[in-house]
Amino acid sequence: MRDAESREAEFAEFMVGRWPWLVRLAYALTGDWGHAEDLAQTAFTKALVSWPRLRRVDDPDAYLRRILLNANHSRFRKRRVPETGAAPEEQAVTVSDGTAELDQRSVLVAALMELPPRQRAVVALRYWDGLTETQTAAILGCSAGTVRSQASRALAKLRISPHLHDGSTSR
Amino acid sequence: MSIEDLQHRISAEPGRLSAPPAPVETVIGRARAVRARRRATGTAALAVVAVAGVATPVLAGVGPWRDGSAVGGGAAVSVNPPKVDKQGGTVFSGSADGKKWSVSVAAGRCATDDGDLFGCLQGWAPGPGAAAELASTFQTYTSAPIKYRIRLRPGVARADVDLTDGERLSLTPAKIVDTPMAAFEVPRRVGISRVTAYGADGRVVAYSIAYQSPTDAQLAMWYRPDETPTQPVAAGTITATVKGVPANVEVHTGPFGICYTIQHQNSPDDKKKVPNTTCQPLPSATTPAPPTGPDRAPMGDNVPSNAPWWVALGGLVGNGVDHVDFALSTGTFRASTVRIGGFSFAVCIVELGAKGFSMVGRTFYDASGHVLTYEPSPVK
Repeated sequence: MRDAESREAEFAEFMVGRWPWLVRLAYALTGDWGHAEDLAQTAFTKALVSWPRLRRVDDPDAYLRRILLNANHSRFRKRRVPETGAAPEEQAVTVSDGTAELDQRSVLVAALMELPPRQRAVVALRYWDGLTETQTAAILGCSAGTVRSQASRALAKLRISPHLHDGSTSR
Repeated sequence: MSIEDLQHRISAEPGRLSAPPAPVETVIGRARAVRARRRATGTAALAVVAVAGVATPVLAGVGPWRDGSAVGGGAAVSVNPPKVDKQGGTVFSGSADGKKWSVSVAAGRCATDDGDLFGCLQGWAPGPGAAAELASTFQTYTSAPIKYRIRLRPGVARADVDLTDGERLSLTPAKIVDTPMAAFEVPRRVGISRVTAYGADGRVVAYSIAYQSPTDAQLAMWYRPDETPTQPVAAGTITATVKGVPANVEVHTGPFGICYTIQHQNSPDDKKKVPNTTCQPLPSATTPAPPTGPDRAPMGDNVPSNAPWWVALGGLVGNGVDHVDFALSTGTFRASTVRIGGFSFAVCIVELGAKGFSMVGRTFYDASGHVLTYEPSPVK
């Protein structure tokens, strides 16, 4: 009992420090703040269930990212959630300041949602999360070359996305 | 827009988003439920193997094995919107583990057959920022579900209650003698992890991380919608020996506030221990620094005091306090401070005695033995 309490206390500290980061990453993957919270909660739940193993790995954040991506993949597979065109929920997200920023955030996420899931995952890890090509490849289980090509295609699509054309950003 | 601009724009995006508070208790509750399901599955499998090994000849003629266990399966709790009966009274109802319940509060009254769970309502003064108050009918010697009553601050239109098994109850209140109230019932194994209060416009007014004590849930700490709890979870036990019997005060700190639990015994020989928990908000959110003395307000007597043959005095003290002398009518007792979760606690555990005692005062000392302040407060 005491072990369980101690484990949960240790995990709570781990989770509080990483929650903002992971839920934002989930948001980049889902485009919906509600889904992002569900996804991040699922990832942390799995992490706590596997806590004895997770706490011993060298890079728990990489482990957490992997859980998140797998959970996101399962979300599509099990619930048949629409993969594209999910409208971001305006009221669920708070932005640091200004309506203009809110618009920019929304159009960027809307543009990300137009990408295929694999390309979206590459963009989310590589640019949103700031990983290297090698780290991204390791998490996605592909080569660095694949990451490079997927990122290139994704950025090319984003550049011509009507959501990101300056002056035409309305929702 | 160049590729570099685009990359920069994507990488800058996360920093502009404010994340919601970390639902630590919900995640811990969900993980517990997962583990419970796994254990239940494993136990059922072992049971089948054991029974099959011993009693296959008997069972062979009985029919298929049926396991009626409902551990961890499905939604455990439901709550109906309150109704008004023909007499104008209010009826709260719902179910826990499939078993229906209801309570009726007569019009203009605040009492029910459950005693004073719904009343009486006078004297409720919600603390700063508190949006709701929770009370339960927890009874120690039964396995009956726990019935909760929640009353809401004026301006709060509804409340969501997150349970530790992952369920969420959306509660619509009814006014009982001008106070918005709701009720729900949960099985013993299900705790409460969080309560979120909403205004009439549907926006979150405040939320509270619940402390699930050994008996029931308590709400002490309320956060604004844009606030993220930062207090890590920590625990410690302050121990003493009274009449040769251990007398402990468990202290838990975390996003739920500060909670103290003692084990109530009627006598040193009483084998039945009943946990008794009280919680208080984290001091930084509610307690102003006093003009003199320790760097936080002088302690209140926050620990559940009565075991009932021993008494615990004190609680949270300022971080500059090293020890406290409790001057009682029966003598002076020194309590050294204990650090738990970044806070300091000084708790004096003394035998109540046949004649009891009165408090004369308390003196707070720093590490060098200098008096920080003297508090002549006969509290108990």
